[in-house]
Amino acid sequence: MSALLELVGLRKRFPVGGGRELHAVDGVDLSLAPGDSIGVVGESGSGKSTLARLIVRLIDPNEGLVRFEGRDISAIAAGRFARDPARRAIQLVFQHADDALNPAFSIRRNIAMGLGHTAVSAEASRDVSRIADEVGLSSSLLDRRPHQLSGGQQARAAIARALISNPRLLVLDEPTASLDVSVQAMVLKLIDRVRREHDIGLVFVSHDLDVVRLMCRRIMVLYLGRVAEVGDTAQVLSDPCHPYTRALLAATPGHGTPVVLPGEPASPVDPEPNVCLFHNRCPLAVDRCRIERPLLRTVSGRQVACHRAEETIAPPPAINAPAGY
Amino acid sequence: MNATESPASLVTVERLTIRFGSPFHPPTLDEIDFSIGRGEIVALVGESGSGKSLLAHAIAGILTPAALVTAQRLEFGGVDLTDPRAAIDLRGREIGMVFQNPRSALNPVRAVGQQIGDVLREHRDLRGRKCREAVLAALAAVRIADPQSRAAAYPGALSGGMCQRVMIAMALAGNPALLIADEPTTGLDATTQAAILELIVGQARARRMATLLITHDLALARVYAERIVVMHAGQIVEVAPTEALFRDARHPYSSALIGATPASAVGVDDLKGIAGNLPDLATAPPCRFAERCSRTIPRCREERPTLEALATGHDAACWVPL
Repeated sequence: MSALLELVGLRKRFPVGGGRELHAVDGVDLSLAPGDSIGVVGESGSGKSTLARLIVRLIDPNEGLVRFEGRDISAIAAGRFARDPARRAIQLVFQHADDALNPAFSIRRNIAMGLGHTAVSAEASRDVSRIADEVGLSSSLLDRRPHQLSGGQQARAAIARALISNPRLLVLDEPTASLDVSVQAMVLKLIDRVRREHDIGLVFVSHDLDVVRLMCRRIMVLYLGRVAEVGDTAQVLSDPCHPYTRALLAATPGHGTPVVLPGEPASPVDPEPNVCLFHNRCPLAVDRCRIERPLLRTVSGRQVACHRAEETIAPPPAINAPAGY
Repeated sequence: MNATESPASLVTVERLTIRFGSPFHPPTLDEIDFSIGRGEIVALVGESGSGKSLLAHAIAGILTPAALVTAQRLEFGGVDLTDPRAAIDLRGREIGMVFQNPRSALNPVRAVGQQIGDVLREHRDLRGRKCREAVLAALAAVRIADPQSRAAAYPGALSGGMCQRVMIAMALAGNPALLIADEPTTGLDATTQAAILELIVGQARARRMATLLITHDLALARVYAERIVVMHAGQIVEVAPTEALFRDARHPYSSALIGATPASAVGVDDLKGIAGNLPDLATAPPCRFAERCSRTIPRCREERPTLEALATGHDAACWVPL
């Protein structure tokens, strides 16, 4: 089956003055089949939100391709993409549903806006009722304004707006980060159900490894705009190969003893091209990590960008083990 | 015996009720019974709006004057906290606090070393070189590398995790017997969160300092707390040793909260949402969870369940406990 979404060598740099550039997304490849799901995880500054915006073509990449159903959509300028037929097939759901909904419009009109126009025709109104029913939004709420809804109801409205145009790809940027767990649970179940029922491809951006574990078949770990590790979620999380994935997992409550990483992330502004960007915090760093950028390669069933990935495979190395090089 | 009562109790709260507006308004905190032992690490969990921070503010004596407080007992180490003068003496010295969003808690136009120095002058009466040395020692104690140069930095130049370390240094400067950490890592990255909590809990153990960790994250509470207090809509619904709560939650709300936590689910189908929202306090039945609960009996709408000991140190407020 052909891929729904393909990213090839995608790069996005933002100028920060003085001719310097912040490398937000630094060469990301991805292939996603219809109905498949991938979680994009990383900490703030890892480029996960930028990646989401590149995929839905809100911003233009500096380099690389975004292919949707075999068609290159990266050449279409972000400003013109709004009128492209692919626009409706690719939908984004933002973190803060209250900011993403238009406060001056009723919920009905907000959801109908997913069809691309602000006027609500009789037909659009029927679609809104159907989709609101599907996401569990009671019809009595449709005539209210966003501020009259609870956080969970707002999240449902934002998802309904994304679903009304029958998208084939849904990109969710931390859709539940500001919700209580009781509400989050219901929204996650909703997203999972619509993905399965409509065979929608899912790109799920999150900082929460446990949420990604529940929602996504595959996981991509980003560090400073580069892919550290990508593979089957269960495999990566049960036996992470990249030292950063291990640190991230250990830092998640309930997944072992936290490893406290020394120092702070390297600067994403004009980063050294020929180093591993994680070397300054990595417990396994050797000289090679400071002179050669590790490329993604297959190690025990997943792809990982680490010179020493083989050594991280169980049994874990002792902390003071001599460097193996 | 009521589990809120223990011989080594540092904080004792009995029938604490807080209202806003007038004495006739429904209580925002409803007859809270609660205690923290010396050196104990207690987590206070619940959804947003459950009253966690309000309870912490009452203990720290930083309630807004608009709050109407009644309590049978509100004591810290034998001192009556309802006396505002007593509370001022304790605050900062005996009770340290760390808040969410450290950047807004720090003064943006003063170097962080000066701000820590303020606390040391006020509470430890240090001056001059001694004070400067103590500032550097305080920064080193929270594992800030190169304290000399960091002391001169302004909050805006430091990362969120670094600012939180500074806040912890300030909270610990008075050598408190109780540290209140109110969502100390919300908004921080996972690896930073782990580092900050390891630091707080490490310091708590080293100093035998009681710690009240307020969080909405049960998975996090499970890792760091010895005992967990669950709140819902201004009522304490369950108090239990950490593992006992996860093994054998007795209140339907605690059980539902655990079921909604992603860390405890194997697949997305295991996740359980909780129906409804926090109730409107004006119309809520005596058990404020009754409208969201699957086990409700008529008595839940007539009479408020009190915290009853169901096992040693394990209390729940429910007429039909699990």
